[in-house]
Amino acid sequence: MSDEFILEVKNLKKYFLAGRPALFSRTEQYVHAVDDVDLQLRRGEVIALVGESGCGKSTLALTLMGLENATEGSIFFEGRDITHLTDRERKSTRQRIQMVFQDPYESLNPTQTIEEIVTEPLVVHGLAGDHGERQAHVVRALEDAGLKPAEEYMHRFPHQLSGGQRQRVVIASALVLEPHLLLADEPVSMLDVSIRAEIINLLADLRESRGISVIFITHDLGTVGYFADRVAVMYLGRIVEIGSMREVLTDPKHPYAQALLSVIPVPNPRLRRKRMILQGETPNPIELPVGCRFHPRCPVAMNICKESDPRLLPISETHRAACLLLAK
Amino acid sequence: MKRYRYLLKKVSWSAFTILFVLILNFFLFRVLPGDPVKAGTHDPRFKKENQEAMRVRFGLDKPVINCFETLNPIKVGDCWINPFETQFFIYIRNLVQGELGISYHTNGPVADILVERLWNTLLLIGAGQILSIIVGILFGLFAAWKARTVIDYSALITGLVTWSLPTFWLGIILLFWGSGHGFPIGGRITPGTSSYPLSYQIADIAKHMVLPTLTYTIVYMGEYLLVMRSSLMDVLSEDYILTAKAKGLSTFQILKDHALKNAMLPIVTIIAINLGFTVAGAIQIEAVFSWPGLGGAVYEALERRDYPVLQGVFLLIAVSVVIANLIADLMYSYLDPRVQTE
Ligand SMILES: Nc1ncnc2c1ncn2[C@@H]1O[C@H](COP(=O)(O)OP(=O)(O)OP(=O)(O)O)[C@@H](O)[C@H]1O
Ligand SMILES: [Mg+2]
Repeated sequence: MSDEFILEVKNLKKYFLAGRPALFSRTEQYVHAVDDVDLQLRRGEVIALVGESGCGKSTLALTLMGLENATEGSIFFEGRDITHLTDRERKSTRQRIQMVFQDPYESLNPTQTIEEIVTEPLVVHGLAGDHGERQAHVVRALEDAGLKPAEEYMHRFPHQLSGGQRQRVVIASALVLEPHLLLADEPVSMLDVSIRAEIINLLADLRESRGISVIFITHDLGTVGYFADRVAVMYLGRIVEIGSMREVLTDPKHPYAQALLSVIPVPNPRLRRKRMILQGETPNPIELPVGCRFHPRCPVAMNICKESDPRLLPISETHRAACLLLAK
Repeated sequence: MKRYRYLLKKVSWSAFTILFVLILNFFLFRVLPGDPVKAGTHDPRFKKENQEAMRVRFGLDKPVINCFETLNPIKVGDCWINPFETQFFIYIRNLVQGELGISYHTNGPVADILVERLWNTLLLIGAGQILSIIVGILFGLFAAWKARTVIDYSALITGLVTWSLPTFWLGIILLFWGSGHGFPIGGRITPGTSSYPLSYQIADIAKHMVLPTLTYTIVYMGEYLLVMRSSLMDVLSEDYILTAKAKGLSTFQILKDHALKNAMLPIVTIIAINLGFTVAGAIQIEAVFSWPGLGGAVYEALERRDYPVLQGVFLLIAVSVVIANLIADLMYSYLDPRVQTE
């Protein structure tokens, strides 16, 4: 394991049992929520994970967090294999990987005050000994998350805050543990458009000031904008294109990535691309198409696409895509 | 500040409800047919002057309220009489003095009858309630914790079956079984033991309580079990539980610090309301086991058309239900911070 990477994911799979096709059938069906994902993340790097609803982004994040058990593959975090750990073994890792959930209206316990919410992780991990020291940590985390002055918010309950403020509390309660890696699962999708930029700026600042690595999950490429270093595009449980932000945003190679990008509104009309609207529904992740999993919806599908399942092929040093067009 | 306003609002609503019940309760029994005097007029030995004396004793010679002599049948009377001389005013005045009238049947004060019966009911039904709450909640917790396992499904089925068991039927089955195993088959004490030492009497009452309490617990724990189970399962699927796990809390800490308090919210209401009805006793159980409680009193009073007793019991039940609801609201506002500001 090299020190260069804070997180290395190899051939990670997460299948959910979906029952049987018929009542007395022998075979069992699985949802292929995450299906063979490779990912490497450098220290201090921000990677945006993009893909439409149901492609397995949240499942990937939950599996990385150890909140779901991986079906196959391995996860190395700071050089340690964390794929299968007991709750006790995982505790120290929990402190260093934190997660921000999608819905700030659901992810805060309604019966706790903001102070209790942010203090709890410190207590659980036995950090910051006495009461005064703990409180100082909490105040700092709240203010770093943009809730200033912290005293004004500490004694409130979640329902007394706006959605944006709640999400800041969620971020603060992740930050108190001084994590090295933050998984943000669509942290702004439930918020008003006007607040989204603020929260994203906040995450960008935190990354600057604390050097935290971030996996930023979104279904909307427009929201990552300038913040991410790299972009990974996910389709039906697999990463189909990954590269530096500039490479993927300006020169996407996978037809699915091209389609995703074509529908982002661009301020400059001369740069406006032809909109590519994908045909058909997302195939269900229970019965994946044979061959390339994108071929039934692909506007440029070839015959071979129905047979051969492409791996990520290099385009440049940093840019890779899983499309058979590139193999020619 | 908001909290006080909330309290004030709830308390005044309760007071208003009780006042309404007081008034309704009075008219309800004036509208119902029959009075103790009429019940006896078929008997030729019941002399006219005795009938009149009885009317006077129960205050039935006075008009119900201004303008109405009686309400069943409606007999319009003088509107310009002294309102303090009407049944309605006397009823209110007696209530204020803690008097609930005189029983048609025993001729004794209703309040005395109710107090004695109330203690018996509180003893039996209270024990049954507390047991069914404890057993139901514990099983519900365990089922939710082991969700979708054999344990969970067995608990679920047990809950559904016991909840739908007919009380009367279960009581009789247990009575049959118990009488073969040395349990007394009814009543509260063994007759003729009132001079025995206190410890003997306590043990005697406890023995008499076993079967009815068991019946009560079995029939009523199902509701608590099912509600607790589904409530905890709801809470455990919330994002903040996942968040807590991600923060490194152990399963036990999550249950204790996050899940239980939130899952208890719906239970608190049910407990409070059921405890309110405890006072009403359980007519069926008290009937099967000849337990001299309030439920039994209602049953007997209904048979004898003993309106003053019924009126007193109704009042007692209504007041305790209203108070139980008030307590539920107050507990709720303590447990759930969202309540105070909404
Ligand atoms: N616990 C589970 N059991 C069974 N199937 C699941 C479970 N969790 C997720 N799935 C399925 O796995 C697939 C991926 O779901 P996931 O929540 O990871 O998608 P997502 O990319 O996060 O979508 P969104 O953008 O809507 O949040 C979906 O088809 C979903 O139905
Ligand atoms: Mg998701």
